[in-house]
Amino acid sequence: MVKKIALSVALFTTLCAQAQYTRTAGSFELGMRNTVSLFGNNNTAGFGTGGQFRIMLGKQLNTEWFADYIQTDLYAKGKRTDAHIGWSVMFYLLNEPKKLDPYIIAGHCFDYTRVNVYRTLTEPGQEYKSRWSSAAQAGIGCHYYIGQRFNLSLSTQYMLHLGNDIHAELESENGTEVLHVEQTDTNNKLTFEGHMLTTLSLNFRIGQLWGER
Amino acid sequence: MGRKIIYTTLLIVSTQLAGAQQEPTTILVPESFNYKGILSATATLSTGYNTAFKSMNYFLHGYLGYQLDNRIAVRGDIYYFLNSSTKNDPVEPFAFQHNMFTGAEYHFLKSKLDWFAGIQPGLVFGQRQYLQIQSLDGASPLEPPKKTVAACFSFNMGINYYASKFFYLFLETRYNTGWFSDNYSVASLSEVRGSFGLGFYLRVWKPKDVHSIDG
Repeated sequence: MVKKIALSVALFTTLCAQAQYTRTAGSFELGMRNTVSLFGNNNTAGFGTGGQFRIMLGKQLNTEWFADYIQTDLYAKGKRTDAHIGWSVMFYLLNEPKKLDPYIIAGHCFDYTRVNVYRTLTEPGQEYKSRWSSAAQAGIGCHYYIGQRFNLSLSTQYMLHLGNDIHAELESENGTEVLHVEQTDTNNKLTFEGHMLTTLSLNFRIGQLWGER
Repeated sequence: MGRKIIYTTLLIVSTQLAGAQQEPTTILVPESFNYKGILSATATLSTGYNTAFKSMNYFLHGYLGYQLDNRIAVRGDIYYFLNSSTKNDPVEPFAFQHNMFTGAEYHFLKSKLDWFAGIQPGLVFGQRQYLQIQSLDGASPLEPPKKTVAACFSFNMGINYYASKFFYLFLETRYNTGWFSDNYSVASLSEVRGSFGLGFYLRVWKPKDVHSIDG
């Protein structure tokens, strides 16, 4: 019981601590990020690097403009490469920022996807398949402020893509497992495809584009 | 008993952190040890141990950092691949793998000694090496491994010692992780690296109150 109380108090104290950070409209932040992609079509995890900048429009309203480069291994038989470029709007739940500052995030994204089957060292492999798609994403996130100019952010979003379907499947041929990649090739066969993106980012307040400094 | 100590420590640290945010502490230090506005750079040699391939990698390592305040610094690193060696495999896993990282560091100010820890997302630009890339009939060589860019994540920690007005000594270690996929296979980038040497620093911006160190 004592342990639970101690843990709760510690957690509560951290959550309630006032941040030195102040949210002001016109604030410009620059940051780097790592993203983990989960729960896609192939149930394999992808890993990516990217960057973003943020322009704050109001005390409880921020925008994030991002680009990501994500690679996903497909059963050690091939790989999927995703390039994302997009934007999101962040709605802060608290009027004044605490040290932990939660927010809701949603936005749009354009995506280039390419799926390769690995060649073997003695056999040429299958050619790659690629597509362009657009996507919408939404989720939740939280800043952790350190000082007035720096924050760590962790967010999780579900991203839903609309585009031609690229389907990679592991099949058994003559006792060996082979990865097959197929793509719908007509413009009329658009399909939805989703995955969950968890992003950890480091962000620096560079300056103030307008408003009070 | 052990758990009680952990919980109590957690409580104290948490409370201290909260308090530090509400009332910035002020420590009087000589002007030269106020880190705000310091630009630092170095070039040195670095060695790494890839835990998946059990291979040693050798790099030329350089970075450029800027101290935003006394705690937080932004920093960009470049590792230029020089060579690698393995004991067990006939060929080294990579023909080359250059790295670029950008990220942030938290500095624990302690007089001339400056402990730091940071996290840095990054990119790898590399090319694998394989023992055999030849078609079964032996007539036509298959295409070579492609030069590829891959994502990676690293965290580093170390210590700087500001020995004189423009120079400092540093010692740091880094853990880098990620996956490298080319047109043949996927490979782990898990690697522990170490660097040490001499760095150069210069104050490019002088804060108004050089004696104040506030979180």
